[in-house]
Amino acid sequence: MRRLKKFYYPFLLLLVAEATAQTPRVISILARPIADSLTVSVQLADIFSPKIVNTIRSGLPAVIRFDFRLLEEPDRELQQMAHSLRLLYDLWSDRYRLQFDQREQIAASFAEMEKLCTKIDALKLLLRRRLVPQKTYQLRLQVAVIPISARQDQQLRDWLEVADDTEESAPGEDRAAGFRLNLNKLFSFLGGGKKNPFGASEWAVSPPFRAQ
Amino acid sequence: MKALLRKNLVYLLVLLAILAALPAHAQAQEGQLIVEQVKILGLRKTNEQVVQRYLSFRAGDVLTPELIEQNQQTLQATNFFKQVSFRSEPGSGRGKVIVVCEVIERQWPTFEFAGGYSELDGWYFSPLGVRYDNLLGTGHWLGLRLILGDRVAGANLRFYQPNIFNSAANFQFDADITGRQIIHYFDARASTQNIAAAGLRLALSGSRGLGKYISGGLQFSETQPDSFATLVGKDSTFFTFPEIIAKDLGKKRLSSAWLRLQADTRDNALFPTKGIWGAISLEAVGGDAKFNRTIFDGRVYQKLGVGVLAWRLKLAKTSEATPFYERFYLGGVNSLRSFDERRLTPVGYSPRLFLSNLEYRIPLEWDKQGKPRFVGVLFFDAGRINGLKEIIGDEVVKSLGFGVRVKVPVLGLLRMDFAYPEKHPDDFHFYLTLGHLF
Repeated sequence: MRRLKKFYYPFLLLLVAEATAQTPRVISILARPIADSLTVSVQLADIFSPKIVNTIRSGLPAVIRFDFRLLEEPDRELQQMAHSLRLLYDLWSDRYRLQFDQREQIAASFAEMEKLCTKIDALKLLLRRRLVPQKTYQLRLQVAVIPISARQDQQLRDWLEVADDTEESAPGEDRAAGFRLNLNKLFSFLGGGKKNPFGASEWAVSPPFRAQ
Repeated sequence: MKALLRKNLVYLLVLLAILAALPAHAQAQEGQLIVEQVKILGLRKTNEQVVQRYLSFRAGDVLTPELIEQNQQTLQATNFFKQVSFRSEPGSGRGKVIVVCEVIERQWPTFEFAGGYSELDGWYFSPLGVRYDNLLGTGHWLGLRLILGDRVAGANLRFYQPNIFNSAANFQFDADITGRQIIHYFDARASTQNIAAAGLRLALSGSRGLGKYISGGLQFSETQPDSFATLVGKDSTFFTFPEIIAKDLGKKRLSSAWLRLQADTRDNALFPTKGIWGAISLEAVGGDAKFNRTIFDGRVYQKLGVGVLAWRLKLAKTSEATPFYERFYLGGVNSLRSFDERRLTPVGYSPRLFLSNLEYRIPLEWDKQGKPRFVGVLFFDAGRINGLKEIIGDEVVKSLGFGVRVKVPVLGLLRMDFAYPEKHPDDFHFYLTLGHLF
């Protein structure tokens, strides 16, 4: 039994470490029609893991990706919308730049930048007239924080795009052009749709709302 | 004393000269990030040099997010890792960055489905291929695949080790066993003949310096053509071949040594817009037949107006003693368009070939990564082969045409060509295949 415990404890520690690995949390999500738009307000916590903090402080960017799904009750997905917030620390002026939907904000300190990132107010998502007034909707949200480039989160998608990249090995050899499909990756891609991408929050759902 | 001073002065000057010759250590200028160190994490079996080989930046280089993105895609494309991610840490001074590359190694073999169009064998697919790349952690490729097609069936085992024993040489080993049909035209009627072959090929190529331009190797094969051919579209077979074919009907064992001089200055392998890609290969064959073969294949790409002008020239020559299945052919979608596959090939194939393909490629739509997704093409092909006058009544054959290339996920570049022979413009051919012609 003791022997078994010896083997067991490191495994348990690993599980605990995995469970406590920091991912962002969505504290609240509230969708409201304001004027001619459907807007959303989001509050987040634990956005920046130490690895992300280091990346930002070294002067390379990080991206916070907001992945919204508009649902019609009870659970029918109508539309997907993605927004990205790019964070960059300007080492030379010691300021943080936040670029969101072609707007830029400057923060004087890391704490100020974190505060701006954790509370997103009245973000316009879509035109109100696209919603049916009599129906009830919900919004789902997943947030992911990706170091350096959002493309790092799209490796399988990228792979699908380049699966065809084959050509002859040298001029003069018989020409063969075609595609190669890695079946392991294909199954990962097809089966991975419901998994949380690495470093992403759990899905959060807004209270039901109407367009009126 | 003076002598001592003079001696020390000489040492000092030599030292200064050496220091001046050394590259200056990069200092971060305002707005620039400089790589201070590259850390690679997650390697269990892979040699760190394998990863370093694929990275395009080193300590002292200027770093951008785009450069990291490119390197991440390059490493991902090796198939050695399940996941590749980059992050960074602040370095020892302002603007200095420690780049951290974290990988998760692939432990198990991968299964592959492949397909395409081959100049030699027509449409083919590989229903199952197994790859166990980087099994030993040295960054090699190892794969076995079955191949089936409209004119081919077989299996191929390939091993490729870049920078073998950490040298500047790449090593490749191929073993094939195939049964393929080759097309003959007798009295303008197509017929096919089966040829069974098994072969081994060993190749060495350089990866750095002048070695990049040279490759060479040895090849051993055993070939057995059927003693009959079948008329296409009919069940009837015939056994009486002209002498030029009949003399090669027995089993032949050939061994050869080959040398290739090559150059590649293209800016992009899949849609080049400038540069050249060419090779001249020389082969000396012995065994049951003795012959020499020389092939020149050169391509030039140049931006011109809204598009890219691409030109390919292929010249090939072999001895008269060459067996017919080792000679050259003309006609078809990857050769000279506006004719059926090998329709311009004389009986017994030809010991000489001239082929020129000129294309003007106009990108009409681009994807998010800046690669062309929709390309329009105008083309002009010309070719010459022995015995052409008896086939079409001319020494040189020419054709014109237009086409489109459409990028399709997974399948790749779908090619549609409409080609017209110069002498008979109403006899147009439509081709549907994959990839650019060259």
